Amino acid sequence: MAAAAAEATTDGGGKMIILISADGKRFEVTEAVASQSQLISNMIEDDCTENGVRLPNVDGDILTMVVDYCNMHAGDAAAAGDTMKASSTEEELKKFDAELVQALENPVLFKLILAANFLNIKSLLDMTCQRVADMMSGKTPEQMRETFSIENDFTPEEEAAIRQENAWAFDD
Amino acid sequence: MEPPPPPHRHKKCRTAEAAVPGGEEEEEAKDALISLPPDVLDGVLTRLGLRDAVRTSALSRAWRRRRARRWPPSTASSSAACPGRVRSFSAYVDKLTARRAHDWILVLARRGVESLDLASPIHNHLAVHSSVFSCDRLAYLNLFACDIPPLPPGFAGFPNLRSLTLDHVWLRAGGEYQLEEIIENSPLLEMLVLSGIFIDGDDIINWVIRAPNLQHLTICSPNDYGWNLLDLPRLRSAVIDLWDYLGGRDFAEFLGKLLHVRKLYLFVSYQPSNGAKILETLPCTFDSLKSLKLYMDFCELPAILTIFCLLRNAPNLEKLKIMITDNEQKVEANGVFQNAEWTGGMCANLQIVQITRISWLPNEMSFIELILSKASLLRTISVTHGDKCLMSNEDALSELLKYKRASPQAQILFKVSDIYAA
Repeated sequence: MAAAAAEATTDGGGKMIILISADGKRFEVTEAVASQSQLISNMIEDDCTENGVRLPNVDGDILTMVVDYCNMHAGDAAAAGDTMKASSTEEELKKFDAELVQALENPVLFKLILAANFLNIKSLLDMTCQRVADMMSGKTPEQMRETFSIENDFTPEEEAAIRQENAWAFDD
Repeated sequence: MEPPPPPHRHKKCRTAEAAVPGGEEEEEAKDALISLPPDVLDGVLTRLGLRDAVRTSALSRAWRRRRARRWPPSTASSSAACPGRVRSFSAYVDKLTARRAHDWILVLARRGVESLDLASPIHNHLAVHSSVFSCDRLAYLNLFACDIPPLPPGFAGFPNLRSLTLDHVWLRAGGEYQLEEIIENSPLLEMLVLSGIFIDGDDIINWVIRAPNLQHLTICSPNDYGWNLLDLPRLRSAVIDLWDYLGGRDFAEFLGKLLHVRKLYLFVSYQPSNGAKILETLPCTFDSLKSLKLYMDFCELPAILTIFCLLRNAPNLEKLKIMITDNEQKVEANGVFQNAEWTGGMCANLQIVQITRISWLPNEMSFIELILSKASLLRTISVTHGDKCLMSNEDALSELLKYKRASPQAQILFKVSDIYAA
Protein backbone atom coordinates (compact mmCIF):
# COMPACT_ATOMS: atom_id res chain seq x y z
CA MET A 1 0.00 0.00 0.00
CA ALA A 2 2.73 2.42 0.95
CA ALA A 3 4.57 1.78 -2.27
CA ALA A 4 1.49 2.26 -4.43
CA ALA A 5 0.73 5.62 -2.89
CA ALA A 6 4.34 6.64 -3.21
CA GLU A 7 4.37 5.98 -6.93
CA ALA A 8 1.19 7.91 -7.45
CA THR A 9 2.67 10.92 -5.78
CA THR A 10 4.52 12.95 -8.29
CA ASP A 11 4.80 16.44 -6.97
CA GLY A 12 6.13 17.92 -3.73
CA GLY A 13 6.11 14.72 -1.72
CA GLY A 14 8.59 12.88 -3.91
CA LYS A 15 11.26 12.38 -1.28
CA MET A 16 10.98 9.15 0.67
CA ILE A 17 11.64 8.62 4.34
CA ILE A 18 11.87 5.47 6.41
CA LEU A 19 9.88 4.93 9.58
CA ILE A 20 11.14 2.23 11.94
CA SER A 21 8.82 0.68 14.49
CA ALA A 22 9.73 -0.46 18.01
CA ASP A 23 10.17 -4.01 16.75
CA GLY A 24 12.36 -2.94 13.85
CA LYS A 25 9.85 -3.04 10.98
CA ARG A 26 10.64 -0.52 8.28
CA PHE A 27 8.11 1.51 6.32
CA GLU A 28 9.01 3.62 3.34
CA VAL A 29 6.68 6.58 2.84
CA THR A 30 6.78 9.88 1.01
CA GLU A 31 7.42 13.05 2.93
CA ALA A 32 3.95 14.24 1.98
CA VAL A 33 2.40 11.15 3.58
CA ALA A 34 4.59 11.26 6.68
CA SER A 35 4.08 15.00 7.17
CA GLN A 36 0.57 14.36 8.37
CA SER A 37 2.37 13.58 11.60
CA GLN A 38 3.29 16.94 13.07
CA LEU A 39 6.17 15.25 14.89
CA ILE A 40 7.68 13.94 11.68
CA SER A 41 6.86 17.13 9.83
CA ASN A 42 8.96 19.02 12.42
CA MET A 43 11.77 16.51 11.99
CA ILE A 44 11.67 16.95 8.22
CA GLU A 45 11.97 20.69 8.74
CA ASP A 46 14.96 20.10 10.99
CA ASP A 47 16.54 17.75 8.46
CA CYS A 48 16.85 14.87 10.87
CA THR A 49 15.13 12.09 8.97
CA GLU A 50 17.90 10.95 6.65
CA ASN A 51 18.82 7.86 8.69
CA GLY A 52 15.25 6.80 9.16
CA VAL A 53 12.91 7.80 11.95
CA ARG A 54 12.87 5.45 14.92
CA LEU A 55 9.58 5.27 16.73
CA PRO A 56 10.39 3.39 19.94
CA ASN A 57 6.82 3.82 21.21
CA VAL A 58 5.04 2.33 18.25
CA ASP A 59 4.75 -1.38 17.44
CA GLY A 60 4.96 -2.57 13.87
CA ASP A 61 1.30 -3.67 13.82
CA ILE A 62 0.16 -0.26 14.97
CA LEU A 63 2.52 1.55 12.63
CA THR A 64 1.09 -0.48 9.74
CA MET A 65 -2.33 0.95 10.52
CA VAL A 66 -0.96 4.45 10.93
CA VAL A 67 0.87 4.28 7.61
CA ASP A 68 -2.25 2.91 5.89
CA TYR A 69 -4.25 5.72 7.37
CA CYS A 70 -1.76 8.36 6.28
CA ASN A 71 -1.56 6.93 2.79
CA MET A 72 -5.33 7.04 2.48
CA HIS A 73 -5.47 10.59 3.75
CA ALA A 74 -2.49 11.98 1.90
CA GLY A 75 -4.84 13.59 -0.63
CA ASP A 76 -6.45 15.77 2.06
CA ALA A 77 -3.34 17.69 2.76
CA ALA A 78 -2.76 19.20 -0.64
CA ALA A 79 -0.54 16.39 -1.80
CA ALA A 80 -0.43 15.87 -5.50
CA GLY A 81 -1.84 12.90 -7.36
CA ASP A 82 -4.55 12.42 -9.89
CA THR A 83 -6.83 15.40 -9.72
CA MET A 84 -9.98 13.53 -10.62
CA LYS A 85 -9.48 11.01 -7.86
CA ALA A 86 -9.63 13.49 -5.03
CA SER A 87 -13.35 14.13 -4.93
CA SER A 88 -14.42 10.59 -5.64
CA THR A 89 -12.44 9.19 -2.74
CA GLU A 90 -14.22 11.16 -0.05
CA GLU A 91 -16.80 8.42 0.37
CA GLU A 92 -14.10 5.78 0.34
CA LEU A 93 -12.20 7.66 3.00
CA LYS A 94 -15.17 7.74 5.32
CA LYS A 95 -15.71 4.05 4.79
CA PHE A 96 -12.04 3.32 5.33
CA ASP A 97 -11.96 5.35 8.56
CA ALA A 98 -15.10 3.73 9.90
CA GLU A 99 -13.80 0.25 9.18
CA LEU A 100 -10.41 1.04 10.64
CA VAL A 101 -11.73 1.87 14.11
CA GLN A 102 -14.88 -0.26 14.29
CA ALA A 103 -13.10 -3.54 14.15
CA LEU A 104 -10.43 -2.90 16.75
CA GLU A 105 -10.14 -4.65 20.09
CA ASN A 106 -9.76 -2.20 22.96
CA PRO A 107 -6.04 -2.74 23.61
CA VAL A 108 -5.28 -2.11 19.94
CA LEU A 109 -7.54 0.93 19.87
CA PHE A 110 -5.70 2.41 22.85
CA LYS A 111 -2.33 1.74 21.28
CA LEU A 112 -3.52 3.46 18.12
CA ILE A 113 -4.64 6.46 20.19
CA LEU A 114 -1.25 6.64 21.88
CA ALA A 115 0.52 6.39 18.54
CA ALA A 116 -1.65 9.13 17.05
CA ASN A 117 -0.93 11.26 20.10
CA PHE A 118 2.80 10.62 20.01
CA LEU A 119 3.07 11.18 16.28
CA ASN A 120 0.69 14.12 16.62
CA ILE A 121 -1.70 13.21 13.82
CA LYS A 122 -4.69 15.29 14.77
CA SER A 123 -7.32 13.76 12.48
CA LEU A 124 -6.44 10.23 13.56
CA LEU A 125 -6.42 11.23 17.22
CA ASP A 126 -9.80 12.93 16.84
CA MET A 127 -11.27 9.92 15.14
CA THR A 128 -10.00 7.39 17.69
CA CYS A 129 -11.01 9.56 20.67
CA GLN A 130 -14.46 9.90 19.12
CA ARG A 131 -14.64 6.12 18.85
CA VAL A 132 -13.94 5.73 22.58
CA ALA A 133 -16.46 8.45 23.42
CA ASP A 134 -19.05 6.65 21.29
CA MET A 135 -18.35 3.48 23.22
CA MET A 136 -19.04 5.31 26.50
CA SER A 137 -22.08 7.34 25.48
CA GLY A 138 -25.39 6.50 27.05
CA LYS A 139 -23.98 3.67 29.11
CA THR A 140 -24.53 3.08 32.80
CA PRO A 141 -21.41 2.95 34.99
CA GLU A 142 -21.72 -0.86 35.09
CA GLN A 143 -21.77 -1.05 31.30
CA MET A 144 -18.82 1.32 31.02
CA ARG A 145 -16.83 -0.79 33.48
CA GLU A 146 -17.60 -3.88 31.50
CA THR A 147 -16.70 -2.28 28.17
CA PHE A 148 -13.33 -1.03 29.39
CA SER A 149 -12.45 -3.65 32.04
CA ILE A 150 -12.52 -1.12 34.86
CA GLU A 151 -12.44 -2.58 38.34
CA ASN A 152 -14.97 -1.18 40.79
CA ASP A 153 -12.99 -0.46 43.95
CA PHE A 154 -15.74 1.45 45.76
CA THR A 155 -17.52 0.12 48.78
CA PRO A 156 -21.26 -0.12 48.14
CA GLU A 157 -21.80 2.83 50.53
CA GLU A 158 -19.30 5.02 48.66
CA GLU A 159 -20.85 4.23 45.34
CA ALA A 160 -24.34 4.95 46.64
CA ALA A 161 -23.15 8.31 47.99
CA ILE A 162 -21.71 9.32 44.64
CA ARG A 163 -24.86 8.40 42.82
CA GLN A 164 -26.91 10.28 45.40
CA GLU A 165 -24.83 13.41 45.01
CA ASN A 166 -25.25 13.43 41.25
CA ALA A 167 -28.63 11.76 41.11
CA TRP A 168 -29.69 13.73 38.04
CA ALA A 169 -27.01 12.09 35.97
CA PHE A 170 -27.85 8.59 37.04
CA ASP A 171 -31.62 8.31 36.79
CA ASP A 172 -32.40 6.67 33.51
CA MET B 1 22.95 -1.22 8.60
CA GLU B 2 23.87 1.88 10.55
CA PRO B 3 23.79 1.79 14.34
CA PRO B 4 20.59 3.14 15.81
CA PRO B 5 20.76 6.86 16.47
CA PRO B 6 20.80 8.05 20.08
CA PRO B 7 17.28 8.57 21.29
CA HIS B 8 17.40 12.31 22.02
CA ARG B 9 18.89 13.36 18.75
CA HIS B 10 16.00 15.44 17.50
CA LYS B 11 15.35 18.89 18.75
CA LYS B 12 11.62 18.69 18.64
CA CYS B 13 11.11 15.04 19.42
CA ARG B 14 8.88 14.20 22.28
CA THR B 15 9.80 10.89 23.78
CA ALA B 16 9.02 9.84 27.32
CA GLU B 17 5.57 11.33 27.70
CA ALA B 18 4.02 9.01 25.19
CA ALA B 19 5.30 5.81 26.75
CA VAL B 20 2.80 3.08 26.05
CA PRO B 21 1.31 1.57 29.18
CA GLY B 22 1.70 -2.15 28.91
CA GLY B 23 3.79 -1.65 25.82
CA GLU B 24 6.77 -3.52 27.18
CA GLU B 25 4.97 -5.51 29.83
CA GLU B 26 2.77 -8.00 28.11
CA GLU B 27 0.26 -7.66 30.89
CA GLU B 28 -2.51 -5.23 30.11
CA ALA B 29 -2.93 -2.21 32.32
CA LYS B 30 -5.94 -2.63 34.57
CA ASP B 31 -7.73 0.50 33.41
CA ALA B 32 -6.22 1.45 30.09
CA LEU B 33 -8.72 4.26 29.62
CA ILE B 34 -7.78 6.32 32.65
CA SER B 35 -4.11 5.59 31.98
CA LEU B 36 -4.27 7.59 28.75
CA PRO B 37 -2.28 10.82 28.87
CA PRO B 38 -4.46 13.45 30.58
CA ASP B 39 -4.90 15.66 27.54
CA VAL B 40 -5.90 12.67 25.43
CA LEU B 41 -8.41 11.55 28.05
CA ASP B 42 -9.77 15.09 28.09
CA GLY B 43 -10.12 14.76 24.35
CA VAL B 44 -12.32 11.71 24.88
CA LEU B 45 -14.37 13.12 27.74
CA THR B 46 -15.11 16.44 26.08
CA ARG B 47 -16.79 14.44 23.35
CA LEU B 48 -19.26 13.07 25.87
CA GLY B 49 -22.41 14.82 26.98
CA LEU B 50 -22.21 16.21 30.51
CA ARG B 51 -24.46 13.49 31.83
CA ASP B 52 -22.16 10.75 30.57
CA ALA B 53 -19.11 12.65 31.79
CA VAL B 54 -20.57 12.98 35.29
CA ARG B 55 -21.40 9.29 35.33
CA THR B 56 -17.73 8.45 35.02
CA SER B 57 -17.29 9.60 38.62
CA ALA B 58 -19.00 6.38 39.70
CA LEU B 59 -16.63 4.06 37.81
CA SER B 60 -13.84 3.74 40.35
CA ARG B 61 -11.84 5.76 42.87
CA ALA B 62 -9.39 6.89 40.25
CA TRP B 63 -12.26 8.16 38.13
CA ARG B 64 -13.85 9.90 41.10
CA ARG B 65 -10.58 11.71 41.82
CA ARG B 66 -10.41 12.76 38.22
CA ARG B 67 -13.96 14.11 38.15
CA ALA B 68 -13.40 16.01 41.40
CA ARG B 69 -11.03 18.31 39.54
CA ARG B 70 -13.69 19.11 36.99
CA TRP B 71 -16.59 21.50 37.09
CA PRO B 72 -19.50 21.28 37.65
CA PRO B 73 -19.07 18.87 40.53
CA SER B 74 -22.77 18.11 40.75
CA THR B 75 -25.84 20.00 41.84
CA ALA B 76 -25.85 23.64 42.74
CA SER B 77 -26.24 22.81 46.41
CA SER B 78 -23.27 20.52 46.63
CA SER B 79 -21.10 22.84 44.59
CA ALA B 80 -21.76 25.41 47.30
CA ALA B 81 -19.80 23.03 49.49
CA CYS B 82 -16.64 23.62 47.46
CA PRO B 83 -16.48 27.38 47.34
CA GLY B 84 -14.11 29.51 45.34
CA ARG B 85 -13.90 31.25 42.04
CA VAL B 86 -14.80 29.45 38.86
CA ARG B 87 -12.92 31.23 36.15
CA SER B 88 -13.97 29.29 33.17
CA PHE B 89 -16.94 27.12 32.32
CA SER B 90 -17.66 25.40 29.08
CA ALA B 91 -20.42 22.89 28.40
CA TYR B 92 -22.47 21.26 25.73
CA VAL B 93 -25.93 21.19 27.22
CA ASP B 94 -28.30 18.58 25.87
CA LYS B 95 -31.95 18.04 26.66
CA LEU B 96 -31.21 16.00 29.77
CA THR B 97 -28.87 18.51 31.34
CA ALA B 98 -30.75 21.65 30.34
CA ARG B 99 -32.59 21.83 33.67
CA ARG B 100 -29.27 21.72 35.54
CA ALA B 101 -27.79 24.42 33.37
CA HIS B 102 -29.99 27.01 35.08
CA ASP B 103 -28.54 26.11 38.44
CA TRP B 104 -25.02 26.24 37.10
CA ILE B 105 -25.42 29.68 35.62
CA LEU B 106 -26.79 30.95 38.93
CA VAL B 107 -23.80 29.52 40.74
CA LEU B 108 -21.38 30.73 38.08
CA ALA B 109 -22.72 34.27 38.36
CA ARG B 110 -22.01 34.22 42.09
CA ARG B 111 -18.60 32.67 41.56
CA GLY B 112 -17.43 35.46 39.32
CA VAL B 113 -17.07 33.39 36.15
CA GLU B 114 -14.85 35.11 33.58
CA SER B 115 -15.26 32.83 30.63
CA LEU B 116 -18.54 31.17 29.75
CA ASP B 117 -19.08 28.96 26.74
CA LEU B 118 -22.44 27.23 26.33
CA ALA B 119 -23.55 25.20 23.36
CA SER B 120 -26.62 23.06 22.84
CA PRO B 121 -28.12 20.98 20.03
CA ILE B 122 -29.28 23.20 17.21
CA HIS B 123 -32.74 21.61 17.07
CA ASN B 124 -33.21 21.66 20.80
CA HIS B 125 -31.63 24.85 21.86
CA LEU B 126 -31.05 25.86 25.41
CA ALA B 127 -33.09 28.58 27.03
CA VAL B 128 -30.34 30.42 28.86
CA HIS B 129 -31.25 31.60 32.34
CA SER B 130 -31.35 35.36 32.76
CA SER B 131 -28.76 35.17 35.54
CA VAL B 132 -26.24 35.10 32.70
CA PHE B 133 -26.71 38.87 32.67
CA SER B 134 -25.52 39.04 36.28
CA CYS B 135 -22.14 37.49 35.42
CA ASP B 136 -20.50 40.88 35.63
CA ARG B 137 -16.93 39.61 35.57
CA LEU B 138 -17.33 37.96 32.19
CA ALA B 139 -14.53 38.68 29.77
CA TYR B 140 -15.54 36.06 27.26
CA LEU B 141 -19.07 34.92 26.44
CA ASN B 142 -19.83 32.41 23.75
CA LEU B 143 -23.35 31.10 23.17
CA PHE B 144 -24.20 28.61 20.46
CA ALA B 145 -27.78 27.48 19.74
CA CYS B 146 -29.37 29.30 22.65
CA ASP B 147 -32.53 31.27 23.39
CA ILE B 148 -31.57 34.56 24.95
CA PRO B 149 -33.92 35.80 27.68
CA PRO B 150 -34.88 39.45 27.93
CA LEU B 151 -32.56 41.66 29.95
CA PRO B 152 -33.48 41.83 33.61
CA PRO B 153 -34.36 45.27 34.95
CA GLY B 154 -31.26 47.03 36.17
CA PHE B 155 -28.86 45.22 33.85
CA ALA B 156 -25.49 46.70 34.77
CA GLY B 157 -23.65 45.71 31.62
CA PHE B 158 -20.54 43.59 31.23
CA PRO B 159 -17.81 45.98 32.31
CA ASN B 160 -15.05 43.46 31.55
CA LEU B 161 -16.39 41.78 28.45
CA ARG B 162 -13.85 41.63 25.64
CA SER B 163 -15.27 38.95 23.41
CA LEU B 164 -18.92 38.21 22.64
CA THR B 165 -19.96 35.46 20.25
CA LEU B 166 -23.62 34.81 19.56
CA ASP B 167 -23.93 32.00 17.08
CA HIS B 168 -27.41 30.77 16.18
CA VAL B 169 -29.22 32.50 18.98
CA TRP B 170 -32.86 33.43 19.21
CA LEU B 171 -34.08 36.67 20.73
CA ARG B 172 -37.62 37.75 21.52
CA ALA B 173 -39.37 40.63 19.78
CA GLY B 174 -37.38 43.77 20.39
CA GLY B 175 -34.19 41.75 20.63
CA GLU B 176 -32.41 44.34 18.54
CA TYR B 177 -32.64 46.83 21.41
CA GLN B 178 -31.34 44.20 23.73
CA LEU B 179 -28.31 43.62 21.53
CA GLU B 180 -27.77 47.35 21.34
CA GLU B 181 -27.89 47.63 25.12
CA ILE B 182 -25.55 44.71 25.72
CA ILE B 183 -22.98 46.00 23.23
CA GLU B 184 -23.22 49.58 24.43
CA ASN B 185 -22.75 48.46 28.04
CA SER B 186 -19.68 46.39 27.31
CA PRO B 187 -17.19 49.21 26.95
CA LEU B 188 -14.12 47.00 26.57
CA LEU B 189 -15.58 44.84 23.83
CA GLU B 190 -12.89 43.98 21.29
CA MET B 191 -14.41 41.10 19.42
CA LEU B 192 -18.04 40.75 18.37
CA VAL B 193 -19.39 37.81 16.40
CA LEU B 194 -23.05 37.84 15.41
CA SER B 195 -23.60 34.78 13.32
CA GLY B 196 -27.16 33.65 12.71
CA ILE B 197 -29.20 35.90 14.98
CA PHE B 198 -32.94 35.39 14.89
CA ILE B 199 -35.24 38.02 16.33
CA ASP B 200 -38.96 37.40 16.83
CA GLY B 201 -41.47 39.71 15.20
CA ASP B 202 -41.56 41.40 11.84
CA ASP B 203 -40.63 44.99 12.46
CA ILE B 204 -37.07 45.74 13.32
CA ILE B 205 -36.66 49.24 14.59
CA ASN B 206 -33.57 51.31 14.04
CA TRP B 207 -30.77 50.28 16.36
CA VAL B 208 -27.05 50.75 16.29
CA ILE B 209 -23.86 48.86 17.03
CA ARG B 210 -21.62 51.26 18.89
CA ALA B 211 -18.37 49.80 20.20
CA PRO B 212 -15.44 52.19 20.44
CA ASN B 213 -12.88 49.48 21.27
CA LEU B 214 -14.03 46.90 18.79
CA GLN B 215 -11.19 45.35 16.81
CA HIS B 216 -12.99 42.50 15.10
CA LEU B 217 -16.56 42.26 13.85
CA THR B 218 -18.32 39.31 12.24
CA ILE B 219 -21.86 39.65 10.95
CA CYS B 220 -23.33 36.63 9.20
CA SER B 221 -27.03 36.84 8.73
CA PRO B 222 -29.70 35.55 6.40
CA ASN B 223 -32.03 38.28 7.70
CA ASP B 224 -31.77 42.02 7.46
CA TYR B 225 -31.76 43.38 10.98
CA GLY B 226 -30.62 46.82 10.05
CA TRP B 227 -26.97 46.52 11.03
CA ASN B 228 -26.31 50.18 11.56
CA LEU B 229 -22.70 50.54 12.50
CA LEU B 230 -21.49 53.54 14.45
CA ASP B 231 -18.15 54.55 15.82
CA LEU B 232 -15.79 51.69 15.10
CA PRO B 233 -12.49 53.60 15.05
CA ARG B 234 -10.31 50.69 16.15
CA LEU B 235 -11.74 48.03 13.91
CA ARG B 236 -8.98 46.03 12.24
CA SER B 237 -10.78 43.09 10.74
CA ALA B 238 -14.30 42.19 9.68
CA VAL B 239 -16.22 39.27 8.23
CA ILE B 240 -19.41 40.31 6.47
CA ASP B 241 -21.84 37.73 5.15
CA LEU B 242 -25.23 39.33 4.55
CA TRP B 243 -27.51 37.27 2.38
CA ASP B 244 -29.48 40.16 0.99
CA TYR B 245 -26.95 42.98 1.21
CA LEU B 246 -29.27 45.05 3.42
CA GLY B 247 -32.24 44.80 1.08
CA GLY B 248 -32.82 48.06 -0.77
CA ARG B 249 -30.60 50.12 1.52
CA ASP B 250 -27.12 51.23 0.75
CA PHE B 251 -24.63 48.40 1.12
CA ALA B 252 -21.81 50.71 0.08
CA GLU B 253 -22.58 53.07 2.94
CA PHE B 254 -22.58 50.13 5.35
CA LEU B 255 -19.16 49.01 4.13
CA GLY B 256 -17.97 52.59 4.53
CA LYS B 257 -18.35 52.12 8.29
CA LEU B 258 -15.60 49.52 8.15
CA LEU B 259 -13.23 52.18 6.89
CA HIS B 260 -10.25 51.30 9.08
CA VAL B 261 -10.06 47.55 8.57
CA ARG B 262 -6.80 45.98 7.53
CA LYS B 263 -8.43 42.69 6.78
CA LEU B 264 -11.84 42.12 5.25
CA TYR B 265 -13.73 38.95 4.38
CA LEU B 266 -16.73 39.66 2.26
CA PHE B 267 -19.38 37.36 0.83
CA VAL B 268 -20.72 38.67 -2.45
CA SER B 269 -21.86 35.36 -3.85
CA TYR B 270 -25.60 35.84 -3.33
CA GLN B 271 -27.84 37.01 -6.11
CA PRO B 272 -29.10 40.45 -5.21
CA SER B 273 -32.89 40.48 -5.00
CA ASN B 274 -35.63 42.95 -4.09
CA GLY B 275 -33.71 45.83 -5.57
CA ALA B 276 -30.67 45.13 -3.44
CA LYS B 277 -27.43 46.29 -4.97
CA ILE B 278 -23.99 45.00 -4.42
CA LEU B 279 -21.29 47.48 -5.13
CA GLU B 280 -20.65 49.81 -7.97
CA THR B 281 -19.23 52.75 -6.09
CA LEU B 282 -17.96 53.24 -2.56
CA PRO B 283 -18.19 56.44 -0.55
CA CYS B 284 -14.64 56.21 0.72
CA THR B 285 -11.18 54.79 0.16
CA PHE B 286 -10.02 51.91 2.31
CA ASP B 287 -6.49 53.13 2.86
CA SER B 288 -5.71 50.62 5.63
CA LEU B 289 -6.95 47.56 3.80
CA LYS B 290 -4.09 45.14 3.19
CA SER B 291 -5.86 41.83 2.87
CA LEU B 292 -9.17 41.14 1.15
CA LYS B 293 -10.91 37.80 0.89
CA LEU B 294 -13.95 37.54 -1.33
CA TYR B 295 -16.44 34.71 -1.61
CA MET B 296 -17.76 35.28 -5.10
CA ASP B 297 -18.12 33.97 -8.60
CA PHE B 298 -17.38 35.31 -12.04
CA CYS B 299 -20.69 34.13 -13.51
CA GLU B 300 -22.72 37.32 -13.42
CA LEU B 301 -22.05 41.03 -13.51
CA PRO B 302 -22.86 42.22 -9.97
CA ALA B 303 -20.04 40.28 -8.32
CA ILE B 304 -17.58 41.16 -11.08
CA LEU B 305 -18.41 44.85 -10.77
CA THR B 306 -18.06 44.52 -7.00
CA ILE B 307 -14.52 43.21 -7.14
CA PHE B 308 -13.46 46.04 -9.41
CA CYS B 309 -15.18 48.56 -7.17
CA LEU B 310 -13.31 47.20 -4.15
CA LEU B 311 -9.97 47.11 -5.95
CA ARG B 312 -10.43 50.71 -7.10
CA ASN B 313 -10.97 51.77 -3.49
CA ALA B 314 -8.23 49.78 -1.79
CA PRO B 315 -5.02 51.37 -3.02
CA ASN B 316 -2.78 49.66 -0.47
CA LEU B 317 -4.11 46.16 -0.89
CA GLU B 318 -1.34 43.56 -0.79
CA LYS B 319 -3.20 40.29 -0.67
CA LEU B 320 -6.32 39.25 -2.53
CA LYS B 321 -7.98 35.90 -1.96
CA ILE B 322 -10.93 34.77 -3.99
CA MET B 323 -13.01 31.75 -3.05
CA ILE B 324 -15.10 30.89 -6.06
CA THR B 325 -18.60 29.70 -5.26
CA ASP B 326 -20.22 29.03 -8.62
CA ASN B 327 -19.08 27.84 -12.00
CA GLU B 328 -21.84 28.44 -14.52
CA GLN B 329 -20.98 31.51 -16.48
CA LYS B 330 -24.16 33.32 -17.49
CA VAL B 331 -22.81 36.61 -18.77
CA GLU B 332 -19.66 37.24 -20.69
CA ALA B 333 -17.41 39.86 -19.12
CA ASN B 334 -14.47 39.60 -21.46
CA GLY B 335 -11.08 41.24 -21.34
CA VAL B 336 -12.29 44.40 -23.05
CA PHE B 337 -15.15 44.74 -20.58
CA GLN B 338 -12.96 44.15 -17.57
CA ASN B 339 -10.25 46.42 -18.87
CA ALA B 340 -12.81 49.23 -19.06
CA GLU B 341 -13.36 48.80 -15.31
CA TRP B 342 -9.68 49.37 -14.64
CA THR B 343 -8.47 52.74 -13.43
CA GLY B 344 -4.96 54.01 -12.82
CA GLY B 345 -3.38 53.08 -9.48
CA MET B 346 -5.47 49.97 -9.05
CA CYS B 347 -3.58 47.03 -7.52
CA ALA B 348 -0.44 49.16 -7.34
CA ASN B 349 0.62 47.36 -4.17
CA LEU B 350 -0.89 43.97 -4.85
CA GLN B 351 1.64 41.22 -4.21
CA ILE B 352 -0.25 38.01 -3.63
CA VAL B 353 -3.35 36.67 -5.31
CA GLN B 354 -4.98 33.36 -4.43
CA ILE B 355 -7.90 31.96 -6.35
CA THR B 356 -9.54 28.83 -5.02
CA ARG B 357 -11.94 26.55 -6.89
CA ILE B 358 -11.42 28.04 -10.31
CA SER B 359 -13.22 26.37 -13.23
CA TRP B 360 -11.23 28.14 -15.96
CA LEU B 361 -14.29 30.12 -17.10
CA PRO B 362 -13.52 32.74 -19.76
CA ASN B 363 -14.42 35.49 -17.26
CA GLU B 364 -12.03 34.04 -14.70
CA MET B 365 -9.24 33.77 -17.24
CA SER B 366 -9.79 37.36 -18.36
CA PHE B 367 -9.55 38.52 -14.75
CA ILE B 368 -6.24 36.75 -14.23
CA GLU B 369 -4.93 38.07 -17.50
CA LEU B 370 -5.83 41.61 -16.50
CA ILE B 371 -4.24 41.33 -13.04
CA LEU B 372 -1.07 39.87 -14.50
CA SER B 373 -0.84 42.61 -17.08
CA LYS B 374 -1.35 45.46 -14.60
CA ALA B 375 -0.11 44.57 -11.11
CA SER B 376 3.50 45.62 -11.27
CA LEU B 377 4.53 44.41 -7.79
CA LEU B 378 2.82 41.03 -8.06
CA ARG B 379 4.88 38.18 -6.63
CA THR B 380 2.61 35.16 -6.83
CA ILE B 381 -0.73 34.26 -8.17
CA SER B 382 -1.75 30.84 -6.95
CA VAL B 383 -4.68 28.98 -8.35
CA THR B 384 -6.53 25.91 -7.18
CA HIS B 385 -9.17 24.34 -9.34
CA GLY B 386 -12.67 23.29 -8.36
CA ASP B 387 -14.42 20.01 -9.13
CA LYS B 388 -15.96 21.01 -12.47
CA CYS B 389 -13.53 22.46 -14.94
CA LEU B 390 -14.25 23.84 -18.35
CA MET B 391 -10.94 22.71 -19.77
CA SER B 392 -8.06 20.56 -18.68
CA ASN B 393 -5.65 21.96 -16.13
CA GLU B 394 -2.79 21.56 -18.60
CA ASP B 395 -4.53 23.60 -21.29
CA ALA B 396 -5.54 26.24 -18.78
CA LEU B 397 -2.04 26.52 -17.39
CA SER B 398 -0.38 26.81 -20.75
CA GLU B 399 -2.88 29.58 -21.52
CA LEU B 400 -2.02 31.35 -18.24
CA LEU B 401 1.68 31.13 -18.95
CA LYS B 402 1.17 33.01 -22.22
CA TYR B 403 -0.25 36.08 -20.49
CA LYS B 404 1.84 39.20 -20.36
CA ARG B 405 3.16 40.02 -16.90
CA ALA B 406 3.64 43.58 -15.64
CA SER B 407 5.75 42.35 -12.76
CA PRO B 408 9.03 40.70 -13.72
CA GLN B 409 9.00 38.61 -10.55
CA ALA B 410 5.41 37.37 -10.86
CA GLN B 411 5.06 33.62 -10.50
CA ILE B 412 2.07 31.49 -11.28
CA LEU B 413 1.55 28.63 -8.86
CA PHE B 414 -0.93 25.87 -9.44
CA LYS B 415 -2.08 23.46 -6.77
CA VAL B 416 -4.04 20.34 -7.46
CA SER B 417 -7.22 19.30 -5.66
CA ASP B 418 -6.70 21.38 -2.61
CA ILE B 419 -10.36 22.19 -2.42
CA TYR B 420 -10.42 23.01 1.25
CA ALA B 421 -7.65 25.56 1.17
CA ALA B 422 -8.57 28.45 3.39
